[in-house]
Amino acid sequence: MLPKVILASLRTRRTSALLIVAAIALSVLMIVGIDRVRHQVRANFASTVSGIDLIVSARGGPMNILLYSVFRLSDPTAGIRWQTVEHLAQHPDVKWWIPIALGDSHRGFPVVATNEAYLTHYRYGRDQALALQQGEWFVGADQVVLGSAVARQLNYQQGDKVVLAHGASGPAIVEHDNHPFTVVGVLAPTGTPVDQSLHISLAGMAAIHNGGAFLSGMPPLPGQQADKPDSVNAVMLGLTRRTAVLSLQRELSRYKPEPLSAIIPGVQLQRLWRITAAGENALRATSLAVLVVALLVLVSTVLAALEGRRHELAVLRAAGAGRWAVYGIIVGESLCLTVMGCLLGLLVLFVAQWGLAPLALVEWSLRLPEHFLALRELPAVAAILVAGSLAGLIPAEKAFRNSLADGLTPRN
Amino acid sequence: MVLHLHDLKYCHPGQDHPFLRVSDFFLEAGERVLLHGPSGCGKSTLLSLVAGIRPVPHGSIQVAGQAFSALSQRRRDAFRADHLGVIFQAFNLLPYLNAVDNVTLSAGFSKRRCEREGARSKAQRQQVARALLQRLGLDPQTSALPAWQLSFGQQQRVAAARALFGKPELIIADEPTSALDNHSRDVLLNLLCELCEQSGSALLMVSHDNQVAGHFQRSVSFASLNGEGDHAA
Repeated sequence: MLPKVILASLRTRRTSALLIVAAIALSVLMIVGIDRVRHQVRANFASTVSGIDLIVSARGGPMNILLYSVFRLSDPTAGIRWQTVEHLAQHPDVKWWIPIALGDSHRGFPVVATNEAYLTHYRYGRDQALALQQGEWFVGADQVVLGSAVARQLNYQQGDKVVLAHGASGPAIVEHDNHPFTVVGVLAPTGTPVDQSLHISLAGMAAIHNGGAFLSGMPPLPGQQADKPDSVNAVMLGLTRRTAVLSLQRELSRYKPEPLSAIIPGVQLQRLWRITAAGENALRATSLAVLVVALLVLVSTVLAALEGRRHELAVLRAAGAGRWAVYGIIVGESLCLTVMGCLLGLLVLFVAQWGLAPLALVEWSLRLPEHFLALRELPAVAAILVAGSLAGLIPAEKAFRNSLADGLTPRN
Repeated sequence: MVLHLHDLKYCHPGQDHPFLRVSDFFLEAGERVLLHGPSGCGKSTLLSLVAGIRPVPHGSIQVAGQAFSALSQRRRDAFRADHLGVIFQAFNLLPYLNAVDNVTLSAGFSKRRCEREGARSKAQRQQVARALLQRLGLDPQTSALPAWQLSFGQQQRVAAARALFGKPELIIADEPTSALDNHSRDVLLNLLCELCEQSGSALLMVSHDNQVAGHFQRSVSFASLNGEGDHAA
């Protein structure tokens, strides 16, 4: 019977009830939403490096190496010699290797010079290989394969001509306009930085820099073959056995011919998350503050309504309602409002995810979650429900005291 | 005896002179007694004490053989649910519930009341409530309306039906007819007295209006009851 009384009574105070529900929904939206974005960004980053055991680069900061080589978020370090790449390729622990040469861009999108190992060996997400949405992988030095976001945002088709610029981003200073590339393929969306990149062959990279400085600043050797440039920025390695990661990392750090750094992407990501934790905590604190405000709104609104409910409570008391029934009604009301707030918040989030998912994938290469409520989020939602119910204790006690003071004749 | 007040004293908070002082007052089982006196003399306060909503600071109240005033607040509330029916002067109902739900409200707090009506299921309780309402002159259509749509006289009948539900030993009524015209007043009191007689409930009603004394077996003036009390307030 109490649920019936609670719901019917709330219905008579629809407007203020809806405002409380909206305030709670907003805080749930923030708390769960921020957690989901955080979780998803981490999952996306982890997905991007999921298949890579080691990244080898010229000696430099490990974080910088991770950020530029995989995420193209930082400036590349100096190149490593092709002889070193060949040494890695022949190493018994190495199963596959992908060379990465960077430094050019096209209208803000980074250009990655690599070989066909990129298409066959690079893995993202749960062991997913890259796939071509249309066309094929480059063969010649004047061909380019676009990431899906590049193709979509610049509206490029197979057969279009693309002119690359020197420099990673910003306004192009030197355009390689004497060596245009032809789009031969477009990759399927992956939700990783691959979507934001243009892929050319190492020979193509060498060709556009012919006459200028090659990556390491050394001139190409006479008779150099097209796919053997003198240097690359980084090499992604897949190993025959994962257990060899640490020993190979140690071995490469003592590599004699030139100073190298070998990083384990997963380990660097963990370090990155430790760095970003402060910012995340600030966001979480903000959303908690919003929750506290919402609960204060709840308490004050329920308290304020008590004055007008003295008759209602006197009737219930006269009919036999004791302290626990009064508590049940007021706390139940707070719980009911909190439950509705949580449901509304989660629903809005769900609809937003659903509506923004295609846009997020194309614009930010971010895969949005598709669930309504994950198991991992249950503790937070349960804590909000408990907090909402506890908030009801204050007006509940007040209501009971009112009824004691009023006796059978409530004041108005 | 269904009600026995003994050496009852009550002071308003912050005052040391008793506002109420009742040395001895009782109701026999099934007896109907009118307590009359001017407004503001403390009748409602006395009823709040008898209903067990306010704690009794001094003296004792026995209801249905139980030392009611000695119980804890929680047990008083449970005891009230089981043994007492209450009718207010006005605002007796939860406006958002219909008449039937208002009548079964006390049933929700007391198993004993349901058992005394032989109504175990919700449907049976509603049937008993509808029958009571019909006896009090509310047809089933009216009983299904939300209480705020009922006239004042209808609301007081619903309140009477709720008090009577479960045949409690004692029904206390605080000026239930003061806002009714004489005719409606007499109709309601006739019905109330008749139903009290049928269910064996005693009725203690307070009123400023001595004209209704004819409906009662005994009429007591509040002044004579509250002998030594100070009601200058």
